[in-house]
Formats: sequence, C-alpha cells, structure tokens
Amino acid sequence: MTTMLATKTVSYAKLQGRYGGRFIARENGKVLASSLTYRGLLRTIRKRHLNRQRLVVGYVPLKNAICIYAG
Amino acid sequence: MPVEFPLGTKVISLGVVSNPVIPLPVLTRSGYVPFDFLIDTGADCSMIPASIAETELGVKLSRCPQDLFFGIEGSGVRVYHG
Repeated sequence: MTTMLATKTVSYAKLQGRYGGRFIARENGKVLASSLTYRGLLRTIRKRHLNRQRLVVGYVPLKNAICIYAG
Repeated sequence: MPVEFPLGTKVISLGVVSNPVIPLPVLTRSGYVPFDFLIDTGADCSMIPASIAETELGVKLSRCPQDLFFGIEGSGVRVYHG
C-alpha cells in the first residue's frame, strides 16, 4: 500500500530567483522567513514569533548552480 | 512502506532538472520539526549542515570525530561524525 506524503512539498525552481543561496522557512508552501545563514534564519523566526514546529526549513540552491553529489 | 510525493524541480545552467526534496521530521531540542531533505538513492549516508547540528540538535562539534568526504571535485569536505 502506497502512502501520499502528507506535508506539502515545494518546487525550488520557483524560489531560486528570490531565495537562491539562502535558507528558507515555509508554511503551507509560503516562504515566511529567509536568511543567508541558518542561525540568521532562526533569529528571524524568533523575531517574527513564528511557530517553529509548523515551519519547514530548507536550503534553496543558487540558480544555475550545478550540484554534484558523491555517492 | 512506499511513499509517493510530487517531484520538484530546480533551475541549473543546463536548464530545469528534477529536485526530489521532501520535508522530514527531525527530533530536536524543541521537539519534532520538519526539514527539507534531498532524496538521493546513491548516497552512502545522510548529512545535515553543521550549523543545524549545533543549534537544533545540541551537538558539540568539537567533541565529534572528523573526516574528509570527497566528491567529484577531489578537494574534500570536512565532516563531523555524530
């Protein structure tokens, strides 16, 4: 039996123009905070009194950057 | 248990490519919080940024053994075992 992922995913292609190279925090697909560093993102989250448990944190790669992951 | 999720995309200099990123809950000092992870079936292990390990998981990196992981570029990246 296959299960659909409950949490909403987001396409980074739409975010790279504005958030490329930054950590982001999003809720329901909407970016609520961003920063160049993870610690900076946490400061912004605290400053805006956002609920950390409801935010999905990720890193948006720079637009046009090619990432090669070693296996 | 198999899980299905929409395949995301990202833009690279060669065009638009697949970017299989999904949010997964991680147990932190504040309880379970979701982080985006790249699904990479060819990876030998799972990794997170050192800044997240320190701030969210309370890991003391100075007490962790270190190693060098090498990618295609050959220069190596310092990693901590946790």
